[in-house]
Order: sequence, then structure tokens, then C-alpha cells
Amino acid sequence: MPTESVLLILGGVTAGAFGALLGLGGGILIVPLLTLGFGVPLPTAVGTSLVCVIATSTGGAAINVRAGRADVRLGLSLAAGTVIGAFTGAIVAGFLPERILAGLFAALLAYTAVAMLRGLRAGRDDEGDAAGIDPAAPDGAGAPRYRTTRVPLAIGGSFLAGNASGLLGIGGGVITVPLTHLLMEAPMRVAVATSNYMMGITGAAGAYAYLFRGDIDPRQAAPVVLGVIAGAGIGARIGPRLRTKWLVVLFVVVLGYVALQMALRAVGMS
Amino acid sequence: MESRAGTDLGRAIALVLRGGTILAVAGIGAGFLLAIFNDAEVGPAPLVTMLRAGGADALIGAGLLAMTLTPAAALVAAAVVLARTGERRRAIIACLVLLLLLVGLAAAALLQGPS
Repeated sequence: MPTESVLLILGGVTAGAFGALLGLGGGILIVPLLTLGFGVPLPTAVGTSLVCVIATSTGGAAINVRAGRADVRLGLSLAAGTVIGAFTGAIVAGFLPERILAGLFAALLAYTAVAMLRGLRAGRDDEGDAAGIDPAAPDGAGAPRYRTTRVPLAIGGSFLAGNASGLLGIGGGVITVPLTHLLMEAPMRVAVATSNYMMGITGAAGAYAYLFRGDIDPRQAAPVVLGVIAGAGIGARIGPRLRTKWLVVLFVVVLGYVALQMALRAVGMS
Repeated sequence: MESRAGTDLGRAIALVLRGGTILAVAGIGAGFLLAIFNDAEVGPAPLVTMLRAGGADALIGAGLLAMTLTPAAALVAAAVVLARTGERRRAIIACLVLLLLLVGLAAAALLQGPS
């Protein structure tokens, strides 16, 4: 087996596990991996990344949905916003200067990272987790034990997440997880699992255009997608054993890293 | 205790997601193994070109298509279970999201690159 294929599989496994753990699609890792590591043109990297986003979602969501960790009803409501956003994002991508977009994205990510850290310090977290209760487990009426708030506002926010997905080849979890956790007040673990379920739908909305347009290289996509599927399964299995606090900290670190990359791109240093 | 509706919905979606993933992995995996022994490749190409090329690229292309269609298939499963359990509003939302995806698929197929 060629060395490049082995490296692509390993990169896929890492991105898939990381994505399933944090409710991300893994595109944040896959796009830089392909463009910087393997010299793949950006549109091809974005197209491959979107298929990997779907792979991360289907691999992890099959486990999360079955176990009752993902709130499917909530995910469907938000997916309406992300799908429209993904279409719009793909169109707007051709008109908006990349540096402006990168600057806006960096500001949004930095704000989200700070807000999540403040929420953690204020002790706003999953009581169910601490008591060993699965907060996503539906009660006798089939409804979750928590109540989500500000649903219309969140659907508007999910439109932005879809936009980011269509533009940059990411799953949009960097926006939907904080949106569901901070704005809608769903437990972090539910936010992560629901985002993981949703991003397959969002990713598909963008992936069709890339797949039919010819922006995916089958020989490069195959090892990455196979690695991502394996990694997503691993992430979804070890995720429930991790403490929510560390999941939030890990997520904030990722947000900070992506925000820095975006800020560098906005000022022309990347 | 988990409700019957919640259990059915979770089971149906998980079953479709798992089935779609297995189908996609079978195609992509078989194509990947075949590609190790076959140097001729189409490179970045529209789906139709991949499928017409035959061999490894066609198998990978079919697997990629199965992967991208899996979320849509899971939406069909969700809509059916939600309609059966009387959650009409949620079923309509699932159908609306599915319709949006299908419109995107049709538009992408119609506006595809040169094959």
C-alpha cells in the first residue's frame, strides 16, 4: 500500500475520532491536512472534506441516535436552517472576498470560545451527567428531560452554521454545538450528539455540488473516508466515558486554534 | 424509561445510517483495494465520469454516492416513524428538509461539470 494512502487513512481516523468526540465534522482537520500536507487544491479538499463530514456523522450518529443521546426532533428543526444555509453558502462563496469572510469567522469563533469558558466557570453544566443520568434519555412521553429555549433564534443561527459548511467544507459543529448548548440550554453531551447527527444532512447539501462538479478525487477521498468512518466509531464509543468538563475544555482549545488560523488568513499571514 | 416512539425513531434512523454506511464502505473499500493494483485513474472528476470509468474509480464513485445519499434515506425513515406515531408537525419538517436535499441533488446533477 502506498505511503500516501496510509497517511491519508491515519489522518482520517484522527479527524473522525476527534469529530465524533466534539460534535464536529472533522473538516477543520481534513481541509488543512489535504491542502497543506498533500498539496490538494482547496476546492477538491473542501469537496472531500464534505464527504468525510457525512461519514463522521453517519458513523457516530448511528450509535448516538440508537442510544438516545442525540435529540433527533431538535436536530430536524435546526437542519432546515443548516440545509438552506449550506446552499446559500456555496453561492455566496463565489462573491465574498475570502479575507473578509475569514475575519468574520475568526471573530465569531473567538466570541464562542470565550462564552463557553464563561459558562463553564459559572458552573452551568449537565446536572444529569454528575448524577450519572443520561440527560438525553426521553421520559415516558417521549420528550427529553431538559427544555430547549429560543428555538426560532437558534434556527436562524443554524442557517449561519450551514453557510460556514457550504463555504469552508466543515460540518458546522463549531457553531451548532455552542448554539444548542448556550443559546438553547441543552446539555453539552446532547448538543454534541445532536450536532453530529445534523451535520450529515448539512454536509450532504453541500457535497452533491462538489461530487457532480468534479471536485472530488476518488483515489484521495477513499482512504480518508474509510479512516474517518473508523475514527468516528471510536470517538462515539469513548465519548460517553469522558467528563463533560473536559469535553468543553477540549472544544474551546479547538475553537481557539481555528480562530487563530482564520485571523491569520484575514490579515494575509496564512 | 424510554418511550416506544423514541425507541422506534432511534432504531429506524440508526438502522438506515448503519446500512448506508456499510453499503458506502463496501463500495469505497472494494474500490480502494482494487486501486492499489491499478495505476490508471481519472483524478478529480464528476461522478458520472467516475462511474463510466469502471473498475476502482466506479466502485469508489458508487460508494461516495451511497454515502451522500445516506442522510436523505435516514430522513425518509424519520418522516415515516414520526408520521406513524402521530407527530405530524415533526414529520412535515423531516419531509421539508428531505425536499430541500433532493432539490440540491437535482440542481447539482443538472449543473454538473463536463463529463
